[in-house]
Order: sequence, then C-alpha cells, then structure tokens
Amino acid sequence: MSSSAAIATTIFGLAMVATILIGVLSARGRDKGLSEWSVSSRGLGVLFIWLLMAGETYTSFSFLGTAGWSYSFGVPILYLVAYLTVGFAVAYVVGPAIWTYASRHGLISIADMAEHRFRSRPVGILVAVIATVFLVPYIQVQIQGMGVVVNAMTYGSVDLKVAAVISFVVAEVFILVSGLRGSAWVSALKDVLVIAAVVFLAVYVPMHYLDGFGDFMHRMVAEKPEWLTFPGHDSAGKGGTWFISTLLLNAVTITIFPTTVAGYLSARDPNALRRNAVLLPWYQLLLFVPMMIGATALFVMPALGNPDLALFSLVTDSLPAPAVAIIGVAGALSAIVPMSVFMLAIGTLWGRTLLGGGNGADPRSRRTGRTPADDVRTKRLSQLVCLIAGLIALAGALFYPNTLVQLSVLSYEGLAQLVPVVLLALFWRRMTKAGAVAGMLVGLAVVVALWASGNDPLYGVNGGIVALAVNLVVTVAVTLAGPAGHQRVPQPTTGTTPASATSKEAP
Amino acid sequence: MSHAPEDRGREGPAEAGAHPLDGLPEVSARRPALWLLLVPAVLYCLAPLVANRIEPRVLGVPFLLFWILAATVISPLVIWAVTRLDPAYRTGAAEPLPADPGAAPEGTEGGRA
Repeated sequence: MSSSAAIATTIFGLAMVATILIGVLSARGRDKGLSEWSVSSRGLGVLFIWLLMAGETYTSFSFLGTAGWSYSFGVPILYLVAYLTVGFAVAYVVGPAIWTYASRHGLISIADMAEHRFRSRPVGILVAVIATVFLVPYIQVQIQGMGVVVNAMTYGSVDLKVAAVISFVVAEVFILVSGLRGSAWVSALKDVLVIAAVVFLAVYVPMHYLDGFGDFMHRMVAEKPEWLTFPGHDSAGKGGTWFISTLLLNAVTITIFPTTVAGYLSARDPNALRRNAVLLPWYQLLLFVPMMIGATALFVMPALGNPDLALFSLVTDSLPAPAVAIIGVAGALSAIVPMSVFMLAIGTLWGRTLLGGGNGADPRSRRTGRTPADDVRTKRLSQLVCLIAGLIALAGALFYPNTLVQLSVLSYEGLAQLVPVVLLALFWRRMTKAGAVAGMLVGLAVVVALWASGNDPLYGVNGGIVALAVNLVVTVAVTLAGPAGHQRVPQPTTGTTPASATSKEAP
Repeated sequence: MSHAPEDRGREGPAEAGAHPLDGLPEVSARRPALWLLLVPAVLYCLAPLVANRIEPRVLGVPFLLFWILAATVISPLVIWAVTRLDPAYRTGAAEPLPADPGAAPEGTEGGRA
C-alpha cells in the first residue's frame, strides 16, 4: 500500500467510526417507540429537516452520475437540478398536506396513509410492496456507488466489495439504533463535508486544469458546443421533450418518495416544511459543481473508461492524499445517508402495515399498537425488515451488480404510479378504493410494458408520465363509474357537514 | 369501532407527548399566492423551448446554462414570496385537506358518538 493510500484509508476508517458514533449517540435519552424511530417523534425543527432532506437529495449519484452524465451527454443532466427545484415548489403544498394528514391520525408512512384513507389494509399492503420493489434497487445503487467512491479515494487499496460491506454495516448500525434521528445527525456531518468539498472543487479544478472558469466556458463553447444544448452529445433521446416530461414527473414523484415523506413526518410543525421549501433549493446550486467538473474532465481525460469516475479521477489526479480522502468521505457519506433513510423507509412501510396488523383503520383488521408493548413489537418488526432489505440490496451489490440496478432506472417511473393513491386521495374526497387500485395497477403495467418493449422514452416523452396519465384517467373513470360515497360504514345523518364523512372512521 | 372523544381521530398507536396539531389554527381563506408555485416549473420547462442555444452568452456562460442557473436562483425567491403572501404560512396553520376536513368537524363528533 502506498503512503497516499495508507493516509486515505486511515482517514476513511476514522470517518466511518465517527459516523457510527454520531449516529448511535444521537438517540441517547430518546423515546423507544416506533414513532421516534420512524419519524423522530415528529419533533424536528427547520434546521434538522433541512439537514436531513438536503442529505437525502445529495446522493452518491451527485458525485458519480452527475459528473458522468455531464461528461458523456452534457446539458441533459440539468434535469436533476430542474426537478429537485420544481419538486420543492410542489413540496410547499404537498409536504404540509402529508404532514397534516399523517399527524392528525398518527400515521408513519405512505402505506399507513393509504390504508387509513381508504379504510383498507390490502391497499396499504399493496402500496408498501410496490414502494419496496422500487426502493431496494435504489439502496443497491447507493451501496455500489459507495464501493466505487471508496475504491477511488483509497487509490484502489480498498476493494469494491469490501467497501460495499462497510457501507452497509455503518448505515445499518446507526439506523437500527437511532432511526431517522441518526440519519439527521449524520447528515449534519455529511452536509458540512459536502459543502466544503464542493465549494473548494468549484474554485480549484478550473484553476488547476484550465485558466479559470472563463477559460473553461470558452473552451466548452469552442470545442464542445454539442454538450451545451439539447439533446446533448449522443444522449439517446434525451432531448427537450424528455427534459420537460422527466422534470415534471420527477418533481411530483419526489414529494411522495417514502424517504421524502419520512422527512416530512419528522417535522415539528407545517411551517418547518414550508420554510424548507424556500431553503432547500439553494442547496441544489451545489449540483452545478460536479457537472462542471465532469465537463472539465472532457479536456483533461478525453477517454475515460467509466464516465462516472470523471470527478474522482480528477480529484485523485490533482490533489494530495488527505484532500482526496476528505472529498471521498463526503462522497461516501452521500451514499450512506440516503441508503440509511431508504432502509428505514422500507422498514417503516412493512413494520406496521404488513407485519404489525395495520393501523386499525380497516374495520376488518385487528387494531395494534395501542399499548407500549405492541408499539415496541411493531418497531422491532420494522427494524428487522430494515435489516433484511439492506441485506437483499447488499447481496445484489455483491453477486448481481447489474440485475437490480436496471430496475432502479424505473424507480421514479414506478413510484410515480403511487401519486394518485397517496396524494390525489388527500385532495379528492370522492376518490374510491377501486379507482385508486385500478389506476395504480394499470399505471404500473404501462411502465413495465413500455420499458420491456424498448419504448421508453416514447417519442421522446418519459414513459413514466405516459403511465401516470393513463393511471389518472383510470382512477378518475373507475371512481366516477362506481357508487358515490366510498364509505362502507354507514354515516349518521345528524352531522351538519357532509365533509365529516371521511374525517375518521365513524363511531 | 368506537373512540373515546379525547382520541381526536387518532387511529394509530398512541404517541407520546402532545398531539402535534394542538394549537394549530385552521386556514379558511383562499390562497391565490399558491399559483406562483407554478413559476419554477414554467421557467425550467421553457428552457429547451426558448433558450436552447449557446448565444448570447451572459458573463461568458452559454445562454441555456444561464437560463437554468437563473431559474435555480429565481425559484426559491418565488417560493419565498409565496410564504409572504400565504395566510397558512403567516398563521402557521395546518394544510387544509378537502378529503379530510380536520379538527373542527371532529371536535363536534364527541357529541355525536
């Protein structure tokens, strides 16, 4: 092992120990119940919500894929900034809406919400299973991303698979012990490192390799103009239509991602979320830096075998080992934080709705969790699923690195099909269970059919938005065709307002 | 199934501490400012339609990139303007949900039960 590698590996090891300590200690003196583990007892203020949700948006894809897309395609990567920013505008309404519904009824996940809204545990189970199918590959992508980052930052001395196992162990330890609060605290460490690393790189890289930022832009225009307008360089159909449809689809979908929802539900009050809709978009400015560095690599290393390494190749090429290590730790934590929240979200989806007997809103299911012992049991089940989901993703990363990752391409398109059942259901009182389920299943069928037949994007339009349109049409048609009033339980007619019909299960 | 009135519609497990909606006002006023939230989407969607070119360059930045950068700076300012104009933000109110009218009707439910 060279001395550079030794230094980098040592710093990486220390950082992982620090991560575990911060994550584990954050839960000291806290409640032991499920709602503390899943949604931090709904007690986080503006700062921690910001740290947590910024931490979720800046993933290992930001260091790897963002630079890689910029290197390979050019401007199509701007969809990332576009949908995140538009997503925060959507979240100004959606975040408080989901928070209000879930807090009012003591709910902890989108499956829990769907079960309650439609008074049907099978609907909740369906939502939980579909969300899991599209989230597990995402965890695997993060594990593999971590492997790539750690391998690059230690100059190849830590094996990809060893790094994958380390990331899994670190994330599981603090998420199992501390839950979402652990992720929020580790996010604080991560966000500091990411901001420092990225701001430094923004100044350093153009100065080191070129004559500053002006020269970089000048050379891009002169030598690589194809990268600077849609559809970009060799981007396989990622033109303007793809950009618009993808940004709209993802902007809405990210607001109901189970991980985003975990962030919403941990808020102390709705204004913490509204304020964050103003604050979080500023963080996205950081994403322009890996894009610029990826493009800079075009001039420095025109024949990179793996474009995803565009950023780390420049970093290891130009900086001393300690600096490489710190940037690498920022990249590694960018995998660990989202990974931990994804695993937590899956645990939360399953713990109560599937394994814990539901939330009691379905008249046919037994009521659980009313006693502290029940609550702890549900939490244990959630933690178990959190561990199993991580193990499946780890096994995928180690043994089938390409199979599940293909599915992650469909994550947004698949989860988008949950938008009507989770979100529209809060705003459209008439919406029925039959409509929600039919729309969701048809939408998923369209996603899979378009993808399997190679028609995604369809004439340049993101297949997910086509599927969501079909989904919405079916949802509306089936709802309107069915009997009005979805409440199976007869309502007393004495209520002065018909609105109270859906407000809770009837006495 | 029946609830004690103090359950306030909480079907889920009993959570420790005060109910998070305690003391939050309801907002009944119209919120026209929310339409401004469409501005970010419009700005980004216009990018490939009206700004898909390199010239004119602004401070050396190609026009398309400049447009996206500008949208990324303008969007949070617009959302900030929404908070200034939104009665729900100014009073810290819970989000009004048409499918779940909330505390006021539920409060009367104790009498019905």
